[in-house]
Formats: sequence, C-alpha cells, structure tokens
Amino acid sequence: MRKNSTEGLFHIGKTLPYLRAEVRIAVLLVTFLTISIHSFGQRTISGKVSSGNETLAGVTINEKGTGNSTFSDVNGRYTIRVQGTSPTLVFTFVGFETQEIVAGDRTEINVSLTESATSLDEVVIIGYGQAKKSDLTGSVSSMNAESIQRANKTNAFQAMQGQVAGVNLQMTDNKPGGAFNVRIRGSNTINSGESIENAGYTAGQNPLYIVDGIFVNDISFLNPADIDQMDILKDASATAIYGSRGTNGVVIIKTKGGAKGRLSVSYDNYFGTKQAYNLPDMLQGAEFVEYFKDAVVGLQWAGGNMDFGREDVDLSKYMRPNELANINANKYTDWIKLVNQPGFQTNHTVGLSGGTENTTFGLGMAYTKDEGTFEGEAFERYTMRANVNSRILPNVTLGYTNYIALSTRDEGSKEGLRSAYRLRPTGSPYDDNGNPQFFPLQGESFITNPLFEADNWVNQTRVLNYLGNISLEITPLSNLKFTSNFSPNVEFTRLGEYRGRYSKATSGNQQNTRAVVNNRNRMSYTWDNILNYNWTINPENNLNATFVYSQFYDRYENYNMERRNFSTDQYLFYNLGAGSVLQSATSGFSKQTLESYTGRLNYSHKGKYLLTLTGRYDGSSILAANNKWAFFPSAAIAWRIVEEDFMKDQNAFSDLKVRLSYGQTGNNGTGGGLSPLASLSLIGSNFTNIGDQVIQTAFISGLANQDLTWERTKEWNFGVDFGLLKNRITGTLDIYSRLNSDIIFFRPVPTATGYSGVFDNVGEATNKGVEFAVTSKNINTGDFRWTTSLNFAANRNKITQLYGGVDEILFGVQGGSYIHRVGHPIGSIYTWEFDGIWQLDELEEARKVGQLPGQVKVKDIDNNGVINADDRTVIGSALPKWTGGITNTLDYKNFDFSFFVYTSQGARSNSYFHISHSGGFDATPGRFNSLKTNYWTPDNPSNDWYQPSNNGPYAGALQYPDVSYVKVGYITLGYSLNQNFLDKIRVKSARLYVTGQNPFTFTDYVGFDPETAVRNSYASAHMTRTWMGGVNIKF
Amino acid sequence: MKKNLLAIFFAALALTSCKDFLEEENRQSLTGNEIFKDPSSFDQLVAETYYRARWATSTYDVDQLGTDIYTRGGIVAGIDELNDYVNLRPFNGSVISSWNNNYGLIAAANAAIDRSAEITGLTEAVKARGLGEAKFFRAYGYFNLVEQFGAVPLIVNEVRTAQTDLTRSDEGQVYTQILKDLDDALAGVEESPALYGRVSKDAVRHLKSKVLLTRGYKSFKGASDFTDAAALAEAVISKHPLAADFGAFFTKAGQRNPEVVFSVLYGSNPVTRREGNSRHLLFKFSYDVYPGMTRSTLYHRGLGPAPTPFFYTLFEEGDKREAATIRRTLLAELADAERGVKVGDTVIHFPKTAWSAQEIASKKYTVVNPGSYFTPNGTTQIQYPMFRKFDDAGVPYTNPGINPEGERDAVIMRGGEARLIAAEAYLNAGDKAKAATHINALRTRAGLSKMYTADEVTLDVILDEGAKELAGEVSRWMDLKRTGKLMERAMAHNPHVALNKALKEFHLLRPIPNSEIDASGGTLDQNTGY
Repeated sequence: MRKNSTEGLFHIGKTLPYLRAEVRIAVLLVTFLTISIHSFGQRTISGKVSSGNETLAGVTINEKGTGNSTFSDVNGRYTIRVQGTSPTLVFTFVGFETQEIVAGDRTEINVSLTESATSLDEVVIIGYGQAKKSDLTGSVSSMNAESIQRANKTNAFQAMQGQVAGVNLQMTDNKPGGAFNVRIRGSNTINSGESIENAGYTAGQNPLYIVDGIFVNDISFLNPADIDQMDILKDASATAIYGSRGTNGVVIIKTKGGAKGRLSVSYDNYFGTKQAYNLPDMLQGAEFVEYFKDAVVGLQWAGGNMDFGREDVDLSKYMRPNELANINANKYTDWIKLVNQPGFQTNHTVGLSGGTENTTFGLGMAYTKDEGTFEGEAFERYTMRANVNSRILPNVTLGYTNYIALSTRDEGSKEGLRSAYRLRPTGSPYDDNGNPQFFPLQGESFITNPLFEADNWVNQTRVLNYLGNISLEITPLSNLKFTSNFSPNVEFTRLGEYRGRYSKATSGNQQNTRAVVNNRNRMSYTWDNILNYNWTINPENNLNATFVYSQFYDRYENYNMERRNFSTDQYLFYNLGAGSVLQSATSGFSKQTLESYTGRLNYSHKGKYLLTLTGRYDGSSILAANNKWAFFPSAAIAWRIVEEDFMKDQNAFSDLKVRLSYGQTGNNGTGGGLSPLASLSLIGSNFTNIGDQVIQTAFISGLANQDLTWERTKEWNFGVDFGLLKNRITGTLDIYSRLNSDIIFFRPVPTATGYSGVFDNVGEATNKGVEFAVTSKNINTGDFRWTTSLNFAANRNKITQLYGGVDEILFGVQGGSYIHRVGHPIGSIYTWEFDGIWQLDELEEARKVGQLPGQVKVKDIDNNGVINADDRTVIGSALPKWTGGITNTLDYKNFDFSFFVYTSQGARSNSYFHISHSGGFDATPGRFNSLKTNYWTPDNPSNDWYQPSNNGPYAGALQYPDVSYVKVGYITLGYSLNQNFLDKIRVKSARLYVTGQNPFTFTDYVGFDPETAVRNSYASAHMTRTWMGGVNIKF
Repeated sequence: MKKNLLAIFFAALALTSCKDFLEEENRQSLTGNEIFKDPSSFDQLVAETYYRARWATSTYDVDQLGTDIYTRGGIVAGIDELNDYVNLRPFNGSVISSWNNNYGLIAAANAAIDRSAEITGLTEAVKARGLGEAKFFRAYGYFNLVEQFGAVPLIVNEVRTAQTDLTRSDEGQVYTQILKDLDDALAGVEESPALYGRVSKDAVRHLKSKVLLTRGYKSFKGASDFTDAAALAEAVISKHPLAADFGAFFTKAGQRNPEVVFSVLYGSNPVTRREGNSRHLLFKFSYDVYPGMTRSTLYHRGLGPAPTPFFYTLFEEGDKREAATIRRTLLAELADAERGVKVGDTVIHFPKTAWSAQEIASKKYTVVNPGSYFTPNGTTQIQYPMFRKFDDAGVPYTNPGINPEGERDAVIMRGGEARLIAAEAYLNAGDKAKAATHINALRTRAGLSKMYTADEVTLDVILDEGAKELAGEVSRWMDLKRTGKLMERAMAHNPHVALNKALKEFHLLRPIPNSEIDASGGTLDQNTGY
C-alpha cells in the first residue's frame, strides 16, 4: 500500500518538471493530504483505460458514492483504492461516454470508453458559469478546438467566419493583421460616424468578447491554435446576464488550459505562400489607348459637341512623348502585376498541459508571420499563455491565467496599390538606365511610381496586450460556491509612421517628409463576484441560483506627435527631434465605467423541464446623469421532449428539445458611436492669430442631449435542438424576433444650427430571423467517415417607428447616401435608381432632364418629368438577406479531407472601386486607368456603363453593386501517421497536411473583395489565397 | 461562520460601489459650467469667430467660378456643375461648403453673443467690443448667405437643443438683421484697435457700405442706400489711402499698410497658422510637368480654377497691376541635362500679344500665345499666365488634401475696394463725376495715363476695373450678381459657360444643400429650378 502511494507521488514529481516551486509545493501538499486521508483503504483495483487502440490518459476513475478517485496515467493505467465490498467504478472523460462498472471482487478492470455519440454532454460556457449543452435554455453556438484547428486561420475572427449561423463577419482590411467586424443577428443600430477605413462599421456594434473571463474589445491578438472553445451567445436570454454589454451578442473564448494527467506537449506549424487573386480587370495595353480616345471623345460630347469622333482625336495633344513612344513600341506596363508579389505565411505553436488531481496547468507559445502581397506589408505576432488552477484547500480553488501578445503590423504604403490602379499603362516604370523613375508619366506629377512606396512609407503598429485573471473560488458548502474574478487588461499601442521623401504623399519634397508617433494605452479591468447556490431539492428538482456583482473600468490615454522636414530618411519615426517642424503634439484621455447587479435562477425538473430567469441592473457612466441605470430581465424555458415517456417507443428522435426565451438587453450607445462625455455639451478650443499673438479660442463643440437614455432590445427566441437516428443527424433551429427601441443614433440636424447632429434615441426596429445548423454523419463505416455540417441564417431588419413625428431620417456616411425609413432596413441605401444609359435616339428626352446620350439614366420615381432629390429611393441595404456555410469532412483510414464553403447573399454596398477606378469624369480625359467595362460609345449603344468622361450627374447610381459572394474558406488534406509506429517513438499523434486558405471566391462584384467593397482603395489590399502545409504533433 | 464571512464580504462590496464609480471623468475638454465662470472665456468665444472667418473667407469656388474672369481649369469641352451651370444640384460640394462655413461662423458668433449674458465679471467695455466683433462676423456670414442662397434660415441665437424644423426668412428680413448687426458692431468695436487684425470701425463701415450698395439694387432697398454706401466708403477711404506701390503691396513684406481695412491673419507660427492660408494656390496650372520645372515652394500647385482669356485682355499696356498679379514667364528651378535646361532658363513664356510661328520656333522654350491657353499642347491640357499676387515663397509644397499652410495675411477689405464701392454707389446715385474720381484714383496708382471722364463711367467700366484691381481678393460672383451683370458677362467671357449655354436666371441663387433639407425633415424648401 505504501509502495503504491510513493509511486504515485514520484510520478507526479516526475511529470511536472516545469512547474514552479510554489506550485510543486502546493501539489505535494495536496497530494500528501489526499494520501493521508485515504491511506487506510481496504484494497486496490487497477487496470487500463483505452478507446479503440488508443490508450487514454487523464480519465477520472471514481468509486461511486465515495470521494475516492484517481486518474489514468500515460499508459492509460490506473490504480484505485476502494472501500466498498462490491464497489462500482465510474469512468469519466471529456468527449467520451461515461461508463459505470460494477467491480465485484475483481482486482483488474480494463475499460474501453466510447466517444460520445452526442455532443449533449459538452459543456458550454454560459456566462458566469457553465452548463451542459442539454440543459441550455438559450441560443448558444459552439466551436471547438478541432473545428478551429481545421480552419487553420491566422486570426481568431477568421476561424469563426461562416461557421456559425447568424454570425456575420466582415473584414475591414485585406492587409495582414486587419481588423474584423462582427454582427450577430443583424444590425442593431448604425453609426453615422462610420468610416471607410473601417469598411463602414465601427467596433461599437461588435459583440462582447470574453477571453478566459476577461472582457476585451478585440480578439485578433489571439493565436487561434490556443483556443479550446468558442461559445457564441446569441439570444437575449443567453446574453441577458451580461446586460448592456451583451446586447450585440457575446463571444466567450476559453484558451487551452491544463488537464489532469501526464504532461502533454503539442507542436503545430504551417508554412505557406500567399497570392492576390480576384483582381479587377483593368484596361491594359492597347485597350487602354482605345479607351483613352473614347474618353477624349466623351469629354467633347459632354460639352454638347456630338460631331466629335475618334478620328478627331490627336493623341499627341494629350500625351507626352514618352507615352506616345511606348504606344508606338507597343510597350505597356501592367502596374498591378508589377507591384504584386507573393507573401509568406507561417505559424508555430507549442502547447503544454498537465496536472494532478488538484492542480492543472497549461502553457503555450506561438509565433505567427503573415506577409501581404504588396512589398512592406506584414503582420507578426508572438503570444505566450500560462494558466494554473489549484485546489489549495479542500474547498478553495485559486486560478491564475495570463495571456500576453506582442504584435507588429506593418501596413506599408497606403498609396502604392492605389497608384498601380490609377497609373496609365502607357507610363514607364524605369528610365533608360533601368532605374525606377519617380514620375512614370511625364504629364502626371501627382500619381507617383508605386515601386518607391515600400521604401518610403512605413506605417507600423506595435501592440502589447496583456490579459490576466485571478480567480478565487470558495466552496464553503458542497452546493454553495463563491467566485471572485479580477481580470485586468492592459494594452499598449504604438503607431509609428514615416513618409520619406519619395512617397506619393511627399511627392519628392523634403519639407513634406513626416514622422508621426502615436502612443495609446488602455487599462481596463473587470471585477466579477459570483455567488452560486445549487440546491437539489429532491432527485427530481434542482435549483441553481447565481448572483453577480460586477464592475468594469476602462481608462484610455493617447499621445500624438508629428514632426516634419527631415533631412534624411534614416531615422524613420525613431528620432522625432530630427524633423525641423513641429507639426502637432496632442494628447487625450477618456474613461468609462459600468456597474451591475445580476441574478440568475436555473430550475430543472426531472432534467426535462428547464427554466432560466435572469435579471441585470446595469449602470453606465456615459449616459446622461438621470438615465444611467436600467434593469434588463429575461426568462427562458426548455422542454426535453425526448425524455418523456411517450417518446420512449420511437426510434427516430434520439434527442429533442424545444426552447422558448424572452429577454431584454440594453445598449448604452457605443454602437451608435456614443463616446464618453457625449451626452454633455463640451467646450472645444482652437488657437487663432490676432496681432500675431497666440489667441486661444473657445467653442461649443456639440449639442447636449440630457434625455439620452438606454437603447433597449427585447427578444423572443424559439429554438429546437434535435438528434435523429441515434444522433447521426443533430441540429438546431432558432427563430427569433428582436425589437430594438430607443435606438441611439447621431441624428443629423441642419448644419445651419452650427452642429451636424445630436445623439438621440431615434426610433424602433425589428430584427426577425431564422438560424439553422445541422451536422450529419453521412457515412460512418470503420474506415470511411463522412460528416457534413451546414448552417444557414436569414435576418430581416425593419424600422417600425421613428420618434418625433418623422417617418424618415436621411444621412450620409463617407459619400454614401442612406436613410432610416419606416418599413425599411436600418440605414438603407437611398439614392437614384440606375435605368441604363441615354441612347442617341433619346436625345430630346435626355435634354428635357438636362442630360445627353452616353450619360447614366436614372428612374423618374415621382414621374413628373424632372429628375431631382425627390427621385431618390431605397435601392437596397448593406445587410445580407441570408448567409450560410457548409463544411464537409471525409476521413478514410489515415487520410482526412475537409473543405468549407460559406456565402453571403443579397447585400448591396457602396463600392469605392466603382467610384474611383472605373473611369469617372475628369477634366483631363483618361487621366487614370479604368476598369474594363462595357462602356457606351456612339457605336456601342451599351446600357451598362456610361461614355468615358461623359458620365452625367447620376453616375453615382452605379456605385452600389450587389456584393453577394460564395467563398471557399479552406480545402485541407491531412494524413495521420500510423499509431503503432508512433507508439514506438512515444508520440501520441502526428499529422501532416496541406491546405488552401480562401482558395476560391465566386462573385459578380468587381473590385478587390465583395466583403470590403465599401473601403477606400487608399490603404487597401487585394483579396488573397494561401497554399500551405504543416504538421500537428502531440507527445 | 463562513456564511457570515460571505455576508460581510458582500456588505463590503455594496459599500465600495459608491456613487462615484459611474461619474464621468473629464480631462480632455471643459464643460460650459466650468469655463463660463471665467470672464476671459468671452474673449475666447469671440476669438473663435476670427478662427472660423478663415473658412468663410476662403470659399473660392462659389466666389470665383462661373464668372467673366474665372473659369474651371479644363479644356473647352465637357461640363461642370458649378462653373458651367450644367446640372448644378443641391449636392454640390462647394455650395455645401459655402453654406456650412458661413453658418459655422454665425454659430460661433451666436454663442459669443448669447453667452455674454451668462458670463459673470465681464466689464462693459470688453463686452461691448466683443459683441461688436461677433456681430460684424455674423453680418459677414449672413451677407454671403443671402447673396448666394437668397432667403435663408435666420438664426440669431445659440442653438442649444436639437432643432431641425428650420424655415427660411426672406431676403429683406435677412438684410434688416445684417444692418442691425452692423450698427451694433459699429457702436461696439474700436476705432483703432491696438492689435493688428482686430475688427475696427472702418471694417464695419466697409462691410456696411457694400451691404447697402447691394441692397440698393433690390426691390426692398432703402431710400438712401447708394448715398449711404458712398458716404461710408468715403469714410473708409479717408483713413485707408491707396498704397503708393501696388506691386509692393502684394508682396509678403508689404502686405500690411494703411490701405488695409481688414485682414484675416495666419502667420508662420504653426500653432496659430493651423491649416493655413490657401490663396497662394489660386489660379495655377500643372506647370511642373515641363522640363526644368518642379513642384516648388515658389510656384506651388494649382487649386483648379483658371482666369478666363478675357481676364488677360483687360490689362492695358503699362498697367502696373498686371505684373503684380500674373507671371508671364516661368524659369527653370531644376537643371534638366537631357533637354538642355539650366536653372534660371526660361521654360514657358506667355507673350502678351501673339508671337509669330517663326518667332516661336526660334525659342528653345515653350511659347503659348493668347488664344491657346485652353488648348492641349501635348504637355498640359491647359496653360496660362499664373497668378503671382498671393505667392508665399518658402511655404511647403503640399499635395491636394493636405493643409496648404500659407502664412500670408488674407486681405479681405482694403481702400482699393472702398474706391470701387464708392464709384459704383455714386454711379447708381447719379453722381458720375465722383464715380470717375474714384476709378481714376485706382488707375493713377496703376500707372495708367488714360483717365475716365464722368460720362464714360458705366457699371462695366467699374467691373473691368475691379477685375484688375481686386483679382482673387473678393467674390467676383457676388459683384456680378449685385450689378445684374452675371449672366451677360459670364456668357460673353467665360469659355465654358459659353460652350454649355446652360446659365439661366434661376442660377442667380444657389441650391439649398439637400442635406439641409433632408435634415430639416422638409421644412426647408428648395430654390426654384433645382
């Protein structure tokens, strides 16, 4: 007996060599306590736990009805002392069916566990707690480590993209390290301050992200391979516990933690090469010259000179000798090809985990590099995580988690790619000696050679992100638990920018060289105190109550300095003092806080009738003084029909549950762009010059709205969870109806008032939708398995009421024209409707509305023969009509093959590409290259596109194309090495794979990427695909 | 026991959640409650009107385009909303800027005026002067608005709650308000402010004379508008005599002299210069694509508008203003060995009278005859003698979209304009002799010997003289509109307007920005024709 226990002790000491001394002492102490308690056991049972031909380590073996337990070791072996004469052993392991075995008088019991056929025992994090999936009453979608790993993305957002019904992601930027915006169940509100740089969205409407209990604004700093589980809380009942913070949905992420058992080490990597694709078809070579002539003609036609034809065009009047020489020599430059280059991508992730009965730990390190397809663009990230969880006393558990990420994002030039799209193919990138020339077109001194950009424009953001969480869990009674989580988040960001002498922005002028350094730091913390009481009233009735008091504090500072006129480009932005002109030095501060009291009650009757009640009383600092506090209740019921007696005799359903929930959440306005202090009327300040003195000025910077109050969301959700044919097919269907009232929006007021608008509660809107997810094990024979997962979501957004006696609010965002109109989606596109091109035989008709043949024709909506502002109409919305994704996984023997396709359908978007790179009017005809279009000429009576340089006043009607797409997210082929072989070299598993990331896109949209259509081509990048290969090894 | 401990813990928590936690902390800006306790805050509110006046005095597009002497910088083909009056719509950016810039100025003035009653500790003298300055700028803003847009919302109080249902007051009411403000301003501001650049009584008189002169043409004119305008102009002229040397006046060194009535100052200190003056960018073409030329701190870049060919024909031989206003020869700033150009060589020359083909062929440099300014020559689309009047040598060359950073004063009112106002007012009041005196005073300073007799003075003569005297300084569009000559002279002399023949009577009012109508919920109506 003693021998056994020393062995165990030794074993622990040996397998935890990396634990810090204190932890080891704690481990030893706890182990010692455990030993001393159990050292008078009566006999031992030992054996081996396996699954198929794989041994299982870390399986918990418990003597039923007692506290005796142990776990299996590296070889799957276990030994347990038992007290009963005929004990029952319970074998539990995550992801496997629990087995109970009556030991009788056996001393050796070998067990083979089977993988859980159902995912019902999966634990889902539900906010301030966790629940079995089968007990959920709200709408929650989960992604596990496996599906995240399969997606194999560089960014945690990308891993989610298209995989979860009702979650829409939008990239803001195709450059490496670009940000994402996430919309769960449609748009709640719209921010009129949205910018093209953010692809039309701001972060304010993004869901709440919680990483290991820590509230963060962004999850792009995470290494996806570190993620163990992502749970997306969608309906108001699930999110209600987060009150105002959960109104846009909640994404809860658990990073890989420790697991009981021997030390486990994993190493994953990939290497890949990235290419730009789906490039817009620009005019190249001689085609451009033809277009150019048509533009010269178009300019004459626009002025009414319809006798002017192509034969009248004298190129030598418009083009410089070097261009004419290039044309004669048939020497053209495809600028886009010239600047495109492959990018390199790699990732290395090392993870360790292990633990004893009472202490578990996990740690990991990772490196990611992701290069762009324009020279100078790159993203690099180092991450380190560590967590330890220890039961320091029988009823006290202490946990500490931290995650550190250091990322460097080189955005490169913001102008380079745009210049490549603007420059005429008739220019010369190199001079006669083969050196790049700064101005490749002699007649164009504004657009410069993009080959200079990488060396002359540095734009680098370094972010150090630290997440910590100390959690103390006290269990004074077996059914009472108190948890206090203190979670700080510190983020230091440094943006450094240098524009050297030969960038487009400086156009060769030393005086315009500039260095900018912007330092920002954010320090926030969340402090949650949770009291949980679990009361098993009797075997049939269980009550679980949770109370939470929570504080959130967020403090932000920024410092910005710019100097100009550097005599050398040597320093970049590291020597601000070397610039002779101090351009600006500014700083800023903001703080916001939230405070809340929350309660939740879960009641379960016979495990088939489930009830959840939640209430949260929330206070927000940024709302007006009298409206800071609000209460958000929710309720949900679920009925596990499959547990009913009348279901016992059927075979079709292996699981069936219906859920109904109702809840309210609130939004304190950040989604509408409300920032701290915005409900106050503040005094701004400038400096002006009177008498050459520095005179300070004061102005009232905005209108105050002392009545501003919470935006509220009320949501009904009806859901069905089902399993068919012994869970060969499992799925979830949710139907919801969400009403947002008191929507906070920056309502425009006439500028004549001196202000552009005011934050106001403007009206009400509904989001109604359906979400469907199903997983089917189509084939499941020994060697061959084929699984298909499919998700689908459709959302209809509609404004039902606007306050203040109006039925519409018109507004503009970055050159786009939008409307909130009752009966239409929020922020619908409101403009003239394209109706073809005015043709030659319509001359008289065209003249009546002040137009000419060749120009864009729009519909006369009010049919009064005049085209004016009254003829604008709702032509669509940026919200997709439906989205979906499908994943297929095929395993044959050691091979695995999977591919994932997702789609977004029915959205229209303001397309910057159509505005800027498609041949719009310019006083200088054909000054910039253009998209290849079927444009109108006197000989080509097209109805698709206007005559170059004769677009007419309503060409804007062409700038809102449909941006539907189908994208293949990945295609992966993997091979797992033979287990017998691996066992010999003590490797648990090893897999090699090749994958194509984002390999194909199908869309009618022309432009860089339908997802980022609204984005300005300034600072933009192409869509890319990556081909890569890698290994996954576990020891 | 443990339960008790927990109870104590929660009680402690409840205590920590004191009220302060949700208080906003404001470090980045002041609120009215804080700042208006300090009397100096009033000076700051007034100073903001000076700051915003920079934008209200640089609405070049609506002031210059589509007139007899300025047009867009493109070949004579195609269309342009604002210059050519083709499809001019309420979405035009320049029109919207004009509206916004002037109302922005008015809002700052309204805030100063209204808050003066709330700020404690103000001395009467400071208050009177500040109110005078604010009302001067408010009048300036409304004068621009009423001439550009006609009836406009008359907002004379600080807007403190979200107000959308604005309505337009007719032109007469707006003029009444402008003149009331100017009378208050005249009483409030100082005769000779100690600080250069501060609004003086003469600045108010100057503006008032122009406002009265303008109203004199209207149906709601006052009985003595023209004579009152003349009298005020005379008062200004008496204290702001013409500077002896027109050329010296328009150098950076000579920009401050007694002729100046009011200037908006920028200066070289980046703190106060901010975005900077942009006048030095006016009326320039893409000269830098010629060999030996570069995007330099001498010639700077073009803003777009170009003078019309007609403008150049106005200068008589010997008019000193011509050389001070335009540059007929551009010299190389860079050597270009390939094309044999040395620094200082002539690169482009614009002879005043056409050279023969033979003479042109004999030159190494580009020669552009009058009449070829709007014809593409294989290097540039258009080319013309560029303005030099506002040159700000040494100020960085900046790209479009980047702050121009000009340092020079923007002279808004000067004795020369007062002479023209006086001449026009006398002409309309029937005193042609006095009108001739003022015109001739300008011509004498310009070094011309031909003088006008009383009988020769017409509105066209005054407008021609104004074109040369004030080129780029004042709103040509408003001058032409006031005198009823816009349609006639633009059609006759603006090549693009003539090409498109779209200018109609209704264009004498600009379209009300549609975004304003949208935001008003429809209470604002649109001008006819749009």
